[in-house]
Amino acid sequence: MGDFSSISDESAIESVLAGDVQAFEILVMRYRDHVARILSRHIPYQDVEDVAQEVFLSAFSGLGKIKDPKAFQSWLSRIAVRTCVNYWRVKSRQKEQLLSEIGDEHVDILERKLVSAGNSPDDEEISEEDMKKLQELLQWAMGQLNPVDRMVVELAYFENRTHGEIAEMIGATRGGVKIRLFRARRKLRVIIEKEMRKRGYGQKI
Amino acid sequence: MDKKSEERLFKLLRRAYEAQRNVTLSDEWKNNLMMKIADVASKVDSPQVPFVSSFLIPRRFSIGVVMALVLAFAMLFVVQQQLNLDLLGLAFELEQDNIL
Repeated sequence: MGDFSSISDESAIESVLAGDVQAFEILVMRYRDHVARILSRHIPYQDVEDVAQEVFLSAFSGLGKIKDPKAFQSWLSRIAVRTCVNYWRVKSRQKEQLLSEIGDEHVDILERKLVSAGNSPDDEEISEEDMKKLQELLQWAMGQLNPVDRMVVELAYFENRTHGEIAEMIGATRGGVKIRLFRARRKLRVIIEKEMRKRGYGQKI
Repeated sequence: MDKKSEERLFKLLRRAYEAQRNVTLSDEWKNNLMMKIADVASKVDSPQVPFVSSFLIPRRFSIGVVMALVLAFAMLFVVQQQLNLDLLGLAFELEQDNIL
């Protein structure tokens, strides 16, 4: 397919609904990076390709139900976020142990970073090796939350989304998101704190 | 964990989250997706259930429900044969025999 920048989302959607399946390629080309960015943040990278196909297939099947074709991007984002929640639901139902256990070295790095009196964690120099350990720790801790709590924490604290945006994405009320977020944050803190204590860390924080 | 440490913890987790690598979806991935979409579209275009059976059996009926209905009719037929009941005519020969 050649240059499609002049074709709007609305026209592409209209064509698909009129039976031109190939017009869906315009939407795929335009939004594949956007979907990949969302999925890369919320699910393990080795599953991103498969889940991204699932997202676009759901979008194709549900295209007739879209209320505002101009807002295709946010509609697609909602599908992507809900597909991630379903991904974690299936994984937790299968009791699949996706993520490796963490060790003393993970907790040690975390404690060092937490007690370091220097810069704010935003500016602090973190080596590649330490960052890898922190990422593994993050994945391990997030894996202990239920799928919706996990998504809410990621969207609110790591992506700075508003309660209203999150409510729309996960199909909940603003109040519901606020309560869930409060509980999930506390739960995440307790999970990490407990692990630190178990391994003999956390006395200095 | 005090409030300050909790703030630091979440900032650290946020940095770890942001540093996760982004996956790029290739053209091969896109071509594969478009083939799946064409497949889905072709199934939507040509209904899988033939006209007559789709008329008689709504799609939402599971095979179990259909089997149960068939079994119920079969049993009714057997009972009707055994008792010689004319269900449609609502005439019960057994009853008639008794009356006569």
